[in-house]
Amino acid sequence: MIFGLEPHVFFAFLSWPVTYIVIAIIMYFVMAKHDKEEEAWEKAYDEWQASLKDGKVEEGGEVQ
Amino acid sequence: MIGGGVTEYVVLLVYLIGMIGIGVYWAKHSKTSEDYLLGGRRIGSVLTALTLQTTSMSGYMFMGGPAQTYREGYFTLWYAVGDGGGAIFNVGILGKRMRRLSYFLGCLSPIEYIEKRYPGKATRAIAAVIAICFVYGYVLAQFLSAGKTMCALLGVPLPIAIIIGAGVIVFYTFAGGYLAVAWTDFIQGIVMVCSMVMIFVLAWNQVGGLTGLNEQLTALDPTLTGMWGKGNMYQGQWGVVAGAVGVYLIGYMGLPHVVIRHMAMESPKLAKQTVVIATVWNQLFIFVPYIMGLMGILLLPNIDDPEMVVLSLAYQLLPGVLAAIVLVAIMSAIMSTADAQLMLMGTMLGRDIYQRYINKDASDKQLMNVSRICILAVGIISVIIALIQPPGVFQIVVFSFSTLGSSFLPSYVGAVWWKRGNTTGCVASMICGCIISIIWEAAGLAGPTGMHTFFIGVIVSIAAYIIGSLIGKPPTKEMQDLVERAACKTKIPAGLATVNYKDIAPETNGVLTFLKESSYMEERGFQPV
Repeated sequence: MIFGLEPHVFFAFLSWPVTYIVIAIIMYFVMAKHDKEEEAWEKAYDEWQASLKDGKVEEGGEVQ
Repeated sequence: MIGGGVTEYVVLLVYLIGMIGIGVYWAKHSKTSEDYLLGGRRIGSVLTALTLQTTSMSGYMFMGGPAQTYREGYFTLWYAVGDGGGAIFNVGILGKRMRRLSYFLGCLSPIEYIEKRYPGKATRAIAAVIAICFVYGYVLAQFLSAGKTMCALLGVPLPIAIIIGAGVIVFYTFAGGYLAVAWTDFIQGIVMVCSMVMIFVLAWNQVGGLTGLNEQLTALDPTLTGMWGKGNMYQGQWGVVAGAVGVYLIGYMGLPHVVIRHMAMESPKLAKQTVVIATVWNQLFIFVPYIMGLMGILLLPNIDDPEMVVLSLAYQLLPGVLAAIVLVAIMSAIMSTADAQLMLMGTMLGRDIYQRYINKDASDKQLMNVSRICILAVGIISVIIALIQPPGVFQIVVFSFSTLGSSFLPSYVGAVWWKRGNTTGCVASMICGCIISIIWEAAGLAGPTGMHTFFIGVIVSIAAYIIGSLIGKPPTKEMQDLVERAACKTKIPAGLATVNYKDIAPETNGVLTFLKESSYMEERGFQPV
């Protein structure tokens, strides 16, 4: 018994609050990593758009 | 009537005046329609998390939820299991991408967002009709709940209770717009969770902690602590379990008054904090009331109305003023849902109907004023209908959640996750989701089939979205590019890498220049970067 409940009942109902908080914390770090990647992407994108206006890079060219 | 003393009246009065004060304060800060309708897209992570969750949670968490566990035992916690993870799905799946795409498309309302992402004459008309009808049903339900709660708890006559409760909600929403709604939600969220935790801690001691609670419940009736409800009434009904979990785990992604919160975030980067704050708040506010229903079985075995179990526990365990604050918390839960829906009604009527069909050249000021007038008009009409309570009104409101969720969920999720998702798929999913929900509810098929209305509605709606999108004309190249850009997946030409390297590392630039200028690469058959 876990806290007076059958183990399967405990895990079915009461393990979730801790599980969700752990998932949310993991998500925080995963999203933080994505934020950094996206920040670099956004910077590159803005520069690309600016360079298109300047005529430095041709649209539809080779992609990385 | 449980309360009704001077203390309750004073505490409630202070609370209602405070809410009005917030409305008046933010009225002065809403200069543009974007300020009024979306808080100027400058809502921080804490505010976003709390407004997201308080909007999602209505008075049901204080009354309906605990009453269900009081009657059925642990089985009802399946709803909490879904609800507890709702924020993870909602913010994790939609948050960042929807914020970006709505900004790129220049949308101020969730219906405008649908129309611009899925261009077509039918899109906005169908989306607006479904949203306005069922969000309105929701508003009406919350006004009735506010009135009935005040009536039951304080003994105020129902008509006066409805006018006071709804009047305050209408006033601060009308005056302060989205910012007033977000800040009142923030305060209401804190009041709600503090009240709930306060009673829970005291009740916890009374029953001897979690082990004491479960052992006493098992001694009373072993099925109360079993998987399938009191008397094993839901034995083996996995369809009901899937519906109960799924409804709240993913359902919020289909509710326009909830997803508009993503559009108002200050930055997509706030989504990560929002997930954590909203999830922690959820665990405190969602699991606790359901468990309190179980505690009520032991502490209040002969209660007449199980819906009053939380409030009765508060009056049994807390001193007068604190018990009165719990009463305010119940009103907060109702008001925080009602104000968001009322705000959305004003946004949709102003932006999606007035500016779209009546006055296309409406100025910013005109749009803001029209939205305000619409909020006031919807509020007044709702109060009148709530006072009359025509037959059938409850039938409309009970399935508002399922119908909205089924109609919009695939379109909101597909908008940012599947660039192939198109107008045909969107229109098909809205129509099929809405019709199936109405038929399923009207025919009373949920009971005999063991399939929740939302569950069947959303399955049909997703299928319609996918099939429609595959059959219909793909979105334009520009739209597909925007979806990719919202996901930060657009491929950037390789030539630009050189530009980036220049900024990042001068040394790298030096090497690249050397390689380009020398014949080293060409001699070995390499293409220049």
